Amino acid sequence: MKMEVVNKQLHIGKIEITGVASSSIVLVGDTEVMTLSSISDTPPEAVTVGPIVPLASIR
Amino acid sequence: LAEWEGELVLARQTRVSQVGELLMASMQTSSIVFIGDNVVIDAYLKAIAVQREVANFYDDEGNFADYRVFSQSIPEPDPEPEVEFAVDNCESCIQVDRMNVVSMADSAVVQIGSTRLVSGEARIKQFRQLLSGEVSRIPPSPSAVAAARRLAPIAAKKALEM
Repeated sequence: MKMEVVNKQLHIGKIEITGVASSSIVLVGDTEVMTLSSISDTPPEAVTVGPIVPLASIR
Repeated sequence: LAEWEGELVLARQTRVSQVGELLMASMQTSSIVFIGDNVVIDAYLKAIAVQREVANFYDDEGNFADYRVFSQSIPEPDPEPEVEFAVDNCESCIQVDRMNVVSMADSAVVQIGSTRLVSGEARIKQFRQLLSGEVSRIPPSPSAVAAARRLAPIAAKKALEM
């Protein structure tokens, strides 16, 4: 495959971002390779109702 | 990083990035703001997030080894096909007058400048611990409302008018 890119003038007035999270990127520039991944685990059993119990520690 | 050894050379054909003004309100948990060029960004985060109805700080809590989310493999994209890539930047630059970022979290990156290889991974396990099924809504203080409106007008409008 052959790809040819011609970059002409790029001028942006204003960028407004509320949040960048969980291995996301905002890039004002050039790059070659990007590999971004994120896994978040919130199963129903992660919600407990009742007395507050600490999570098991390493020891 | 080892597999990139020998490739750690700045990209040759990049443009200059110009940002007039950058406003950042908050950064947390392994986030990066980078101004300038670099070759590799390797951002990695693992976190156990516990939200409790009553803040209760135990000094020694949690074990990453107990949760599969921290060890399970993440599928990788297929290896890139051989691409013959040519770029003509016409001696142009990237200009941004103003940039306003309210928050960054969990191995997020904001970069003004060029890079070559970006790799990011975030693994988060969430917990919610409530005392009862009911969650009381305490009205926020006027100063908190004003701060929320100033920092994130759209999000604040949605949250406060609920």
